[in-house]
Amino acid sequence: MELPTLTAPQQLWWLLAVLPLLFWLAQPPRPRRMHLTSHRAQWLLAQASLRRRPPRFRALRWLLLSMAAGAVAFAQAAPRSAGRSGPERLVVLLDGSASMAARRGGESAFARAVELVRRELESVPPHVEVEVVRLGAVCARWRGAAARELAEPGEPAGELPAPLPALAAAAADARTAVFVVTDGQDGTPAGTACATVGAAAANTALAVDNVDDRWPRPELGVAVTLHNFGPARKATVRASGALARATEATVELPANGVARVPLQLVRSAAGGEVLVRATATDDALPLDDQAALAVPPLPAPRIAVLGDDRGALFVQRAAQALADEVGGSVVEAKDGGEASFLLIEGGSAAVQPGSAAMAAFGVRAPDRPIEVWAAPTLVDWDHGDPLLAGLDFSELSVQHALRDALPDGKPLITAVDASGTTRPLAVLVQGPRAASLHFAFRLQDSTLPLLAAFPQLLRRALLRGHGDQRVRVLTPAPSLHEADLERLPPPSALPLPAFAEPGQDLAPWCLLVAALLLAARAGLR
Amino acid sequence: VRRRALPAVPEPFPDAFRAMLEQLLRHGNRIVGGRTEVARARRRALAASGTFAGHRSYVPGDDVRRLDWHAFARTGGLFVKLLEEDERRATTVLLDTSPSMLAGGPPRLLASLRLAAILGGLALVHLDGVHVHAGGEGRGLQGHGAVGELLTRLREHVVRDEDPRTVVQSLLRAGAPGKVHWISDFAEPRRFEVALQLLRRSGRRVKGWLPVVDEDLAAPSAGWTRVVDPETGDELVLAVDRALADALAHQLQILVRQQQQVFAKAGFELRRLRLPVESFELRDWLEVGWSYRR
Repeated sequence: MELPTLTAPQQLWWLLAVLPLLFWLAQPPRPRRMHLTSHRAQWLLAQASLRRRPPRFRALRWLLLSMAAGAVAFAQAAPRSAGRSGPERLVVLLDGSASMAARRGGESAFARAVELVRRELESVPPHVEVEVVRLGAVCARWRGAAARELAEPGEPAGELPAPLPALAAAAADARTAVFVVTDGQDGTPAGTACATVGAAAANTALAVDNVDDRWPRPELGVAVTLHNFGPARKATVRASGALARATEATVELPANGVARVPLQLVRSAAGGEVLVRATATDDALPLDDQAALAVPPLPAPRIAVLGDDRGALFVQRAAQALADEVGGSVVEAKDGGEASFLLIEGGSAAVQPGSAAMAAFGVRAPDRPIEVWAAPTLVDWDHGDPLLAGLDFSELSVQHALRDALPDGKPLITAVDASGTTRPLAVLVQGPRAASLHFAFRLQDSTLPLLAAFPQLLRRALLRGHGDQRVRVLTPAPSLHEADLERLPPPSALPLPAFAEPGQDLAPWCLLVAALLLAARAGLR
Repeated sequence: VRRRALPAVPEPFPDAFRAMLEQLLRHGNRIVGGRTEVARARRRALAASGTFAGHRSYVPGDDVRRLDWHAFARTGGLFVKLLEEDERRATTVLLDTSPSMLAGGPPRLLASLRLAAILGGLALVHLDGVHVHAGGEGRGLQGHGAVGELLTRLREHVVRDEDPRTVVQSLLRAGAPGKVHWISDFAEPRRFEVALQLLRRSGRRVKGWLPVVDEDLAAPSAGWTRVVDPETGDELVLAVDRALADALAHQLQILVRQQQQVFAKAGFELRRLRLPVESFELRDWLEVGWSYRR
């Protein structure tokens, strides 16, 4: 039998003051006057006739009063019975990884786990401090009433930050019990209360391997891989969403193997989200069966052309070829018209460099005099700039160009004059909203339109003017570890330990004992 | 039982008392009780035919008819003839010296000692002798000249607790003569009842003398008072108020009746008297009124 525990034992110091005081008060009076008598019997009879008792120290009365005072002091010390030892805190580690989304009988393992946690927490005594930690792609923690209610447990996703046995071992201590609810994919901690809610099942996971983005052209190549965790079976991969037409492919999945499926898609001009979904029979985890891609809209540029009489033919042809390639159109350049890309050949134009997406060939500013640069000799071009990377300009020949007619910008192509001075033949001016490409010569005065790199150069200039528009894969690659549901253990449960029981408050009993002692003392003559 | 140190008794026989006692003893027939006793003794002497046993010196107050004129003619001195019958004209003074006699202020023992001195002195003067028994010891004294020794004997008393029955048995074994004058507080009458019956069966006559002190009449002053029994050392702490004082007075009256009943049952007399202990005037002491019998 364990003795009660005193929560405030310092209150017992009162006894040191109270007990001597009670002893002193219990002493009979000590009169100073003394009288010798031979009639003591008569004194006693006289007192008895008056029903009086001589005042004297009554040890039993003092003992009862002292015990009552001791009981009150004991009550002040807040005694509590020993109670039951055990953990005073419960940490529930709720597996919120992607595998917990596996469904069986129309209900996910995570939903069963949440229900199990709620049910178990109902039986946990209210004095036990409860904390629920959901582990997964996003970890969340609830305490107290919120933990017991577990109203918004979230959805399972991602992987566990660490193996559950290690997390359970880290969370447990002498006063903390750990309850793990998982599907058992990462094993179950030994010696810890644990419930497994999963079951072995077949699953197929879809992963996007490669995206061949041909923007600004509508063609889009997507290669996906189907990871099969289960027996051999058929699967269908369907791409839908922001496409000109949905595409579907059927593939034979080998047992516990991999199947690669290339998809040739044509995107819609408006762009949007493309969803690639794999459908296989007896698939337990639909969460990893699809991938989403963010597809930017096609540029569909309106290309305007300005050119003098002789040069208009070149840029007109170039504009038309560019429009055909990217799905755009050639519009007339006029005041008040709207265009997304401008091609200018020769003459003078009051266009601010870098203010609009354009390519200007041999254009001078109106206030700048004409200074001819005869037969510039090509020196080199910027191989590192994305605009020119991989293009060959070695065959470029220029009959004459405009000297010092280019605006300030990044030199892309350089040449030397007769004096041996190196000057730029082409510069790129990057403005805050657009980039403009300026050449010091006209197309008609060079062999640039004849080069194989010319259409690519125009397309890159157009893309440069519209910024980076690439397809992005929105869905992260699925965890193959989470997707493998074949090795899940069957459901099991290891019950919660017996929690600590706080001792009973003994103060009221002490006060009751004190009252009884006082009553006994009052009845004792 | 824890016993307190008993209080000392004041000097019982100061010179003033001794002088007053001498006057009182010479007062002769003017003592009321003494005259009666002398007349009765004379009648007994006339009727008696005792055997000559010796002489003793004449003292004032002796019956002149018992003077031995022949001895006067031979010697020129006055002698009284002692007959066998006269030998029994003695008395016994039994003084209770138990601690309870120390009660009272002044203590009852002081008055008792002086009372014993007067009674013994009267016996020495008017009778043939006295047997004084005090403090567990007894001794016979004769003649007027033994008054000093009487006082010395009384003064050397030892305060000791004595059972009345034991005292009486001792008295009877010692052959104490004549009437027994028992001076005591008779605080517990039942203890004296057996002793008185014993004396009665042995043919003795007894007279009880009870010197009254203040505590026999009323309670001391009011308030918290510690009352101590000097015999046992037991204490009582009392809140003395009017009600308790009245109740005590009632109990003291009952005690007086019990004392009287005990003596009456044995056929003896008990005399309660208030002695002028603090006075040494002969007048005050003569007002007491003395009487004694053999």
